[in-house]
Amino acid sequence: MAELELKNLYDDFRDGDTIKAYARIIAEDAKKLKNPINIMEVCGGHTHTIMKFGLPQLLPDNVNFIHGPGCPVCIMPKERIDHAYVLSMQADVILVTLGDMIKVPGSNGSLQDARAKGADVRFVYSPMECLKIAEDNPSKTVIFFAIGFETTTPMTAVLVEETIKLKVPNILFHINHVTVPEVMVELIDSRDVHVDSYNNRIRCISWA
Amino acid sequence: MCLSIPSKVVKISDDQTMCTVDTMGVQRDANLMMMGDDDIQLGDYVLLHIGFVMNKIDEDEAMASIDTYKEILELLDEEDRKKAILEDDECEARGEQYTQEIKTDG
Repeated sequence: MAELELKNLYDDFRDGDTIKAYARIIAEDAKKLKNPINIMEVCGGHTHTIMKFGLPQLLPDNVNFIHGPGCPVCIMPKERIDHAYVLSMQADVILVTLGDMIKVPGSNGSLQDARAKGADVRFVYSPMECLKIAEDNPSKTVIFFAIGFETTTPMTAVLVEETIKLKVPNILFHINHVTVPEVMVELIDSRDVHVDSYNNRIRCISWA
Repeated sequence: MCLSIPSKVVKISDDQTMCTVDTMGVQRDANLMMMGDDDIQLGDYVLLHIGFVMNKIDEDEAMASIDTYKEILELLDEEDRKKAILEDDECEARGEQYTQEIKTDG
């Protein structure tokens, strides 16, 4: 077996001819379906990818995508953003959060608006950047506005652990992590809309 | 925000809490604290999420997966492939604009 290269992981799954060949076989198979197939993607990132690559146009009419419960950013209650906004407007506070939260509006505006009004709001790629910000700004209080599903919660936990271990005095947390199973149970139980398959990164639940 | 990006480990810190990864030519730091001791070695392929290494990609499994994915092309002979591409190009769902582009391109 040839040695794996990084580009294999990017390019090989995007090969146009391969995708067209699969699309054709799916179209053939789909002709045999008695009822349409409904596929729900759980994550907003998948919705984005499905739209970006035009999958609804590529697949036959009887294979449908239903957009699912969304992403941790979209489902954030407005009050939680309002809390973050108020925290950010306090003196000597640096509010730190992941870039996804920049433009999400609360009652008073988004965190970007708070920044425009003079609040020190910083967007980071990784929660761990809080440690450096806290060290560089000993006279300020760093508040980490934590968001995310189960996939992102452990990273906040690592930051909490490090904050305690290193005895960092000036990092506080505004925790807004949410879990997915409850909403999935609700969706599956309600069956208002028949869904044949739920797709997410971790697993695929399906039934005939 | 829930996207994992495949990257290659090019450097590991002495205390093994951080590493440097190459993501298609861009190098950056990633945290190793979610992984077990000695789980990650130089040259490993990993998935990243908000600055943390989340998973190691099994190389053989990835190659097998890519090979399986591509087997479809071998199953279709050359004529079929051309037909598949042509059919797709003429697909109505592509919309007028795309058809125009194809015609313009000759």
